Amino acid sequence: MTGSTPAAIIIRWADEVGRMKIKIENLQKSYKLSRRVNQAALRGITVEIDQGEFCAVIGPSGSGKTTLLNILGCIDQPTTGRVYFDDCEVTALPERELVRIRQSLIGYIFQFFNLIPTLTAFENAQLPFWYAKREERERYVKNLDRLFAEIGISELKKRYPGQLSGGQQQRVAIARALAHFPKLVLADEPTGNLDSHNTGEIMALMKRESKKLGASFIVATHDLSLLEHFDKVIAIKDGMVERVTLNKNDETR
Amino acid sequence: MFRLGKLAFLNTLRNKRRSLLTVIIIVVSFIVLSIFQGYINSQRISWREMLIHGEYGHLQVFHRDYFEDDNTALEHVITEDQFKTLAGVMDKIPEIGYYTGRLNLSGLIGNEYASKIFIGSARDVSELAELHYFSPVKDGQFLTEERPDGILVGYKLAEKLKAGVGDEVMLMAHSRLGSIEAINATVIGLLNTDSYSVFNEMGVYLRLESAEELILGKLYHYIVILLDSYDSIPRVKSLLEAEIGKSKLPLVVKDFAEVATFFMQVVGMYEGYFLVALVVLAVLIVFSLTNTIYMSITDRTKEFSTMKTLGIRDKTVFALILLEGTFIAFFGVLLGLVLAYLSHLALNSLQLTLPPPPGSSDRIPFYVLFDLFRNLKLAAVFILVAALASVFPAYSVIKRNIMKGLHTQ
Repeated sequence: MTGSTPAAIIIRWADEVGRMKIKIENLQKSYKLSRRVNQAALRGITVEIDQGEFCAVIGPSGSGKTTLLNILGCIDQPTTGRVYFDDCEVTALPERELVRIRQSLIGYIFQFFNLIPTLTAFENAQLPFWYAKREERERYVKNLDRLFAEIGISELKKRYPGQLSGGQQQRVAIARALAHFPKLVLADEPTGNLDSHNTGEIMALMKRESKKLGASFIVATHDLSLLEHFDKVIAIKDGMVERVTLNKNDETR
Repeated sequence: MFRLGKLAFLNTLRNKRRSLLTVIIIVVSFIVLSIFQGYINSQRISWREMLIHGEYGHLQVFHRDYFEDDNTALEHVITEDQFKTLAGVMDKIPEIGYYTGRLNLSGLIGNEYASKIFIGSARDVSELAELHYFSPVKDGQFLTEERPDGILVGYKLAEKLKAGVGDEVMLMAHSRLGSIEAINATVIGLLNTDSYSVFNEMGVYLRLESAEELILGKLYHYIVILLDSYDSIPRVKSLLEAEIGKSKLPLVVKDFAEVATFFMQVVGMYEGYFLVALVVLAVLIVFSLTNTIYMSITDRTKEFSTMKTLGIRDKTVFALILLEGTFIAFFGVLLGLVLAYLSHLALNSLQLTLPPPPGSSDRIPFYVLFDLFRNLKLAAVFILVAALASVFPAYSVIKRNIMKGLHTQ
């Protein structure tokens, strides 16, 4: 990553110091349903995520969890409000810069795994560093090898998604999200499509890797039984932060 | 690029039935156009060779002002000395197999029944052996050494003169000196030139020696040159032009395509038909391929959104879709090339014939000539069309909203 654009600077900075703080200021998002009717999805969210924090966003369906994750993932823009990655206001960046941020700083885990069926598990996991230079690529592949081994899917590398169970696919998706040493991992209902056994394992896996890599995790979930896994729980209701809970019972707001 | 190519290739195999249907459309279209092209090709070459070896030769040499005149005027002609100088050059060029001079003239032809205007072509008797592809002789024989006074008369002109083979006529024409000269001649043959009907009405073929008696000189309007092959035209033409320039002769060299303009027009017409067929089938391919790609990308909306979410750039997604369309076309064209070649062989082995043209009782052999270079050009057009057909679907994908894409099933 070279250059002196805001994206290049924040990517280089985050890479050098190995961490990134996320600050969300008065985030609002509304969707136009018709010419006169707007639907507010977020109504002024202000929250901070510290480096390496394993964080949950909870709330009922339609509360704005996914919208918040989309904006943090730089695939959507707020109507008003700002998102900062350290000192860089990513909500002010053009799409070209956001693509770079997505490539370098963010990992994504989806509810339905979203693996490309024509690529093997290992090829799927290499997608985030499609454009990486040779040395970078070698570093990322090495990390992937480690991740596949730790996650216990080394023997599945050459299998196609159609040949994997749901739990195995989500493990591949987690490896994909972490392969390029992202500073922020966004997971939208990552266990929503898994049985309870796999859910527990996936949660433990994500938390372990979060601590190991120092990446902040923001996990959207409506499964309240999972909250014990998180450092911080942000409860959203009707597009607003209802409460932020630290370490289970440490309520700050 | 390799990764992208591999991904595109594998994607084309995802819905085999859909891809196969498009490949079949491309294959069939390619074969149809290839055979059509093969037929035009065979017609073009056979007709070209017939005209070259029947009348025009590969090259013709004229006085440089010939085309500014009435083509029977005796002002801008090739003189005997110029002819001899050029003959000396031509004799040294190995690619030249035969050459002969010709003279156009006009005047009156008459007998005891009527006098009519004729347009004449004075030729050497050796033409019968060399430029023999068409026999214009309807009745009787061609000009011959044995009958020095022999002429051939258009059959309709002969009817007007109530003359037949063996009858005597008189030819009158202006000499190069302005006097009116006349010779007696015997009709030894009747002309029937299908392609040039004015010669049936007014035409007379006579020996160069007879023409010399009429115009009082040894002159030529043009020289017809036959080469060893059509491919030798550019080399021999430039050689002759160089020698003409060196000898400061007031002559110009024209190749077959420059002289036989109507041939080029007809070829152009055939090429036009081909172009229309190409456009029609190209539109069919565009619709088919666009539909295939659209269906494919609609099925994969979430996949493209995932790729974009993971940081894959729009131009990479665009290239991926373009490559998929191009691969389908490539398979189709590759298969089409092989099957088109086999179809050419099969059609030629059947020895088919087409109905005879008007005025003829001979059926025309249906022959198709496979020209690899032209087929490769056609293949390139197909692949280009396929790439273009993928542009709209690809564009629609990169314009699609990522979030909406992620939430499609």
